[in-house]
Amino acid sequence: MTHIPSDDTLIDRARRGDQNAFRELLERHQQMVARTVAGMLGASADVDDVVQEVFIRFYKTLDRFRGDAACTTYLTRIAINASLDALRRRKRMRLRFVSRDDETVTLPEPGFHDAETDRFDRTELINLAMNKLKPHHRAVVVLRLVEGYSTAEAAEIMGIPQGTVLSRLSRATARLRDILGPILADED
Amino acid sequence: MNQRPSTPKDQNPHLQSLICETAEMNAESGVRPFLTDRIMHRIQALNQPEEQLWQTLWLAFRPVALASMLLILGFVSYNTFVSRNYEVEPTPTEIVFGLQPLTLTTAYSANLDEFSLTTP
Repeated sequence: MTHIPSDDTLIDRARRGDQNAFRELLERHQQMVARTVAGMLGASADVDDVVQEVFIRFYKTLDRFRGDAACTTYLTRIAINASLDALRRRKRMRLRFVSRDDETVTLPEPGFHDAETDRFDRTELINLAMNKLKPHHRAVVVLRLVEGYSTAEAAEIMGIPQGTVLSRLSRATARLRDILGPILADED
Repeated sequence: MNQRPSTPKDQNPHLQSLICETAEMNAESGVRPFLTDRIMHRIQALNQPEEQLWQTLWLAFRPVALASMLLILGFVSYNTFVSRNYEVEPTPTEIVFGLQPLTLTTAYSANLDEFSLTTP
């Protein structure tokens, strides 16, 4: 029977310079980190860069990780912060290089969606709808609905009160329901 | 947290499943191959500059270090040579640092003029 080392054991070994231990942590959590970052950034070429950035930040702060929180929670916090940074950079770039007309995204009118709409189109629509959310609202949606963290955990990760998490989630899902109304109605 | 999370109260499970599915698809399409290797390569590159810095410092200060060693050796040799003239046998520390040998007389003497034990 092979013994699977815990995250804490691997972090301890990585701190002492064992790169294989860090590689194992990376392989163990990269899917979760990629999902969080992709949830925040949507279908974007930045996802790969930000996932790399998350693990580099994790490596640099290994000594500061005290083990109060689970490794996944710690990584998720880094992933959310790195994604918010990337969204800020993206916004700055857009303001600098793209005119306001180019920014307009057309969402489907009711009736646009029909049974023929395939999975790819649906994904595109969800991405467009998620892009319409404010970054901090998007973060709450990702933490609660994609990663399945509790309200308390999401509040801790984002460093905000639980009430704020609940209100942001409520506003964000209401907005998503407004935008995606036709899809949700058709498939219910 | 890797399993599909349970739907929070008052949330639409269908909406949640669409968002999860989309995030999974975005993650699959957004991450290029060999992610682990690329990250490990960057981490190795992070560690290299420190080693290179030490190497550069050693190269830059090697002449200074060598000159200092020669200087110290010169002083020690000179001190050893001078200490042979003392009447009282000095300790190794006194020889190396070129100190006058300490005796009971010299230790309690307040007169610095009487402190010469060297033969004229």
